[in-house]
Amino acid sequence: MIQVILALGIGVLAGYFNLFKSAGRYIAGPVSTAGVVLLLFFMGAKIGADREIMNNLGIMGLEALVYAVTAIMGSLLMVWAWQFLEQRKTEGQKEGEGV
Amino acid sequence: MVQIVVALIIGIAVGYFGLLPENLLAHVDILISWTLSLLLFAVGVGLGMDKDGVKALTNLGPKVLLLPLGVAVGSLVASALTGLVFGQTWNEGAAVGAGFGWYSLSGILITNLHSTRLGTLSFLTNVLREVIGILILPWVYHYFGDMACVAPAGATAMDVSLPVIIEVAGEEIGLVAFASGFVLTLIVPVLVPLLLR
Repeated sequence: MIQVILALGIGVLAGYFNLFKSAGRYIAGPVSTAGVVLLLFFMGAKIGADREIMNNLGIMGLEALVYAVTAIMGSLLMVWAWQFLEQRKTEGQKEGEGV
Repeated sequence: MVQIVVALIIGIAVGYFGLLPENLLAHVDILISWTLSLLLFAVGVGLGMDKDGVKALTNLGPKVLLLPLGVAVGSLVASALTGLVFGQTWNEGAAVGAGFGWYSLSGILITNLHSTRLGTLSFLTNVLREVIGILILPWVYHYFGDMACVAPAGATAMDVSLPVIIEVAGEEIGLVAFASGFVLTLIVPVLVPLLLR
């Protein structure tokens, strides 16, 4: 588990200090695409081999829809609240200047 | 997107019909672990090399971090609550939402760290988040304003959703959207393992 975070951190540093020169673009592009394709194939194989998941894909899709909608609403609400507070603060400052 | 769907469907067929050799099947989890680390390393190299992302963050100042932070907290709290409603634990629910639309990574990460079931749920959730996030943008812009257009896209605000956000909310929001997506992309691989610890 910590392996994943470390791999990302080392990658960011290696990229930032340009350790791979021009090969960096190749690593970030085709290599990571190949990784994603391979991983999704394995994930598919695990899903396909799991009869319980295969039989419940429809219900899981609905569950996922609820998750997606609530997550979007939650994030919208937070940004909206933040925007609202910012606005009040700048308006407050303007009033302060007026006095 | 096309390669991902094709790879997934071929994988499902192979798994369903038991076409994967027994000795490979036994080592699939280790293979996934190593490929995941390789992938995250490669993703990290791309993010680190992305001087635009680093520049956007430094130019816009620390205050712009509040935006992705708000997007993250809002998504996490909402999906933790959704998880509780569906009979999962709060952290399982939060982990599903912690993909922030980055479906290719979050699904396999959770499959690897937790279970295939929760990983599949996370994959579906984050595919839907990306699609819905793009579709509702005009509505979001109309009712919530330009800054809010960065929220539904989550991590995809730096790539897939960026052109749509700019088209709907205007050129000025582009840099902020990119920076927000950049930060969220960086925290997905950190947050998901921490939540499922």
